[in-house]
Amino acid sequence: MAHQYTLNCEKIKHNFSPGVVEDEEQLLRLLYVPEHVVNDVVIETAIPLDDLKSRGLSLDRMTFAKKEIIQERMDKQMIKDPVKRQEASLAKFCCSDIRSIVDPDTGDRKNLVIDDAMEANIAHASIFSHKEMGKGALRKQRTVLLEYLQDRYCLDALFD
Amino acid sequence: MTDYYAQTNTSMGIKAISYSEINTHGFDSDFIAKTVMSTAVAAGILCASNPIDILSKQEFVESVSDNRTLDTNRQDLALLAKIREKALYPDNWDGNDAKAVDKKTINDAENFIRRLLGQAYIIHSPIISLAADGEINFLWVLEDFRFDLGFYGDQTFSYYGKASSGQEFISDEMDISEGLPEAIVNFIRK
Repeated sequence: MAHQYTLNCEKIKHNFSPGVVEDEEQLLRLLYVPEHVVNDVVIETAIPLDDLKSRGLSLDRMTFAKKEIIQERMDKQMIKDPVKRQEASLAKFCCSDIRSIVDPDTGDRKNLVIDDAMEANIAHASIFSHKEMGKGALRKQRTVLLEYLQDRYCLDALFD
Repeated sequence: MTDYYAQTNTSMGIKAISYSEINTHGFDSDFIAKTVMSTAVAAGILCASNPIDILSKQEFVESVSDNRTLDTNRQDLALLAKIREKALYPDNWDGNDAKAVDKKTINDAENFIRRLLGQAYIIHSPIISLAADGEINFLWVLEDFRFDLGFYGDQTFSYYGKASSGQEFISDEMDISEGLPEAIVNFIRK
């Protein structure tokens, strides 16, 4: 089932939230090797179709992110090691880059970036596809988004 | 100890497996032959629809010397192994409620790759990965073509691809049994 978010939702501050996500904010997406990165390039599976469609692609807002929270998430996953997970890293990109992606034919926005704060992580935000679309179109959309996930950092480089 | 070999001729060439049996239980050769054959079919190494020969080691060596060589590339087996590796990931493998890949998805991916190899003989091997929503994904990153194709266990696949010429290929849902359009197969055929 598709999400119910609209452009107006970008202007709504949720519970526990430090505020709506501003265009100039830097956003972080946690990525794992080898599941999301091959030959040092972030690949399509870093953006699950179901996230774009309904679940929301989970992000951390850099301004409000806590290093310990991200570190804890990384540590938990590094323990699970089905095929020798090698590393975790964070893609960093600007919110306005995602919000400025438009359909070349209609000029309509392709993605929403909304404040999705949780009690345990007030920095949480999510990307959703603006319009409901089929899997093929969602795949096309994620190839465009992928361009913005290629700039990766280790946790220490971002927070120390 | 006797080595037995099962082999069959497929569109991908002659394929075979070997099977070693310490015959301490006094099984007769017919029983062993049936075991070799059923193991090979169950493992997906040989296809039940093709004639399967059970050979002794001596017969097998002779067949090789007669130029009936094995397909040493075994691309099909390498790809199937990579697909099955994705079944090892548990629920929540990404710490963000990821879904484990289910058996139907594995089956769909395997059936697709068998059919594709039947269509294309030898292909550029895709990057095989999984996504947090339970998808098994095949990604081809070629000089003139990038192609993203995936499965969710509903006996269909979807894809998006773009050639360096700008030509796009897109499908929301195709039945596994349909296979890929020839125009796409031409890009990924080796």
